[in-house]
Amino acid sequence: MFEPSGERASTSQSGRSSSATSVKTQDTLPSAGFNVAALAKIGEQAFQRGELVSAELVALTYGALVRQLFLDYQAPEDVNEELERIGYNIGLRLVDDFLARSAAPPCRSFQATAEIVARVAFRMYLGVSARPANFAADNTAYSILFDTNPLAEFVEVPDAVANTLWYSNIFCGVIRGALEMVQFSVRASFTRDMLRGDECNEIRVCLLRELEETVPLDKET
Amino acid sequence: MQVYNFYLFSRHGTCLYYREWQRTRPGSDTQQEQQNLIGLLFAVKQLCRSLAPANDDSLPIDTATRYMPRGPSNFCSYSTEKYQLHCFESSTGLRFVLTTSPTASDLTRILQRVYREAYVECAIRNPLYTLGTSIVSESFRKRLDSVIRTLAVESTVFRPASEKALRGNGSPATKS
Repeated sequence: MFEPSGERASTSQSGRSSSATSVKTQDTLPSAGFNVAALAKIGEQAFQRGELVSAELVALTYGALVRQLFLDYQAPEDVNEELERIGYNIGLRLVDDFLARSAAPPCRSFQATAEIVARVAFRMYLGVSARPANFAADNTAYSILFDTNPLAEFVEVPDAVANTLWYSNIFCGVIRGALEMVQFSVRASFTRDMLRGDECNEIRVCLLRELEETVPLDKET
Repeated sequence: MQVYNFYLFSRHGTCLYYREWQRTRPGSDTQQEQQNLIGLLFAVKQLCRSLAPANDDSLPIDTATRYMPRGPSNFCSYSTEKYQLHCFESSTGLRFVLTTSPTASDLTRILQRVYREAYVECAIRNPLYTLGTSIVSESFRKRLDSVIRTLAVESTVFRPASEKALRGNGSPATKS
């Protein structure tokens, strides 16, 4: 027997003290107006709870990876693409880790992903603050801005490739992979990078389409 | 409270993991049973959504005007005279399903722990595991068992008395 009205269904649930219920109440805020301070706090707590790795180690290892890709591929465009692909595969898995450990409210819309990715995920995995900005009028694109990039520490990009290589392109792949798992097919790309002398880092995320849930088909028919 | 069995379904509806504990009546066709179950879960999700009020305040404004809200359903359990089925769906579409005797309380929290402590630790973080394939890891089984074991301890302590009022009578009753 189904509960006839949403109100009654929610009262029958409110008696239980499950974390799912508390997550749901956080979602009662209007989408663009997630409580920003609360999101930052969620990110910070998840960051503290997680295993911490030395930022220098990450920066040096990542630098070695990019350098090796350069030796293998030569062309900076190919390196960008390969970094994006590596990130994509990371993102496909990372999203489950994120959802399970962060206790972030669920993303019910594309704009909501902007808040969650920027304020919670960046904080949780990189320990830096990022902010969503430049929403497109039809809500199919947004930018993520951040001032500190842990990957780009100690980095000097040679002049020859300075305008073609997106050194931290792995982030774009991670975002694309992660959002694809929550049914948003997106294209993410760097538009500004402090390594190129811009005043902040900017990743542009464009919604290509919302994926529909696939209903499993009966194999016998 | 008795715990019967556990299923983990991928976002595409394939069964990634199956384990039974105190199942007294073995199913005749496990594969068919899993297919029927995932079919049921999809159908219940669709039904719950189509019955939900359109002007749901808990949803962001732009999606509230649409017919079907996005994201995982909040359907958490149904119970019959003989057993209770608990379901937790992650935002990525994974479904964690546990069947128990009908005296259980809300087990969403336990299934979230399975997600966090078993699936993420032993499948997602295992580089040898390919996403979407069935899980054969022994450590996954151990972690799953240890989470379920804590449940057996907790359930005797924290069972709310009011739960009995919500029982269905033979036919599946949904609380979503």
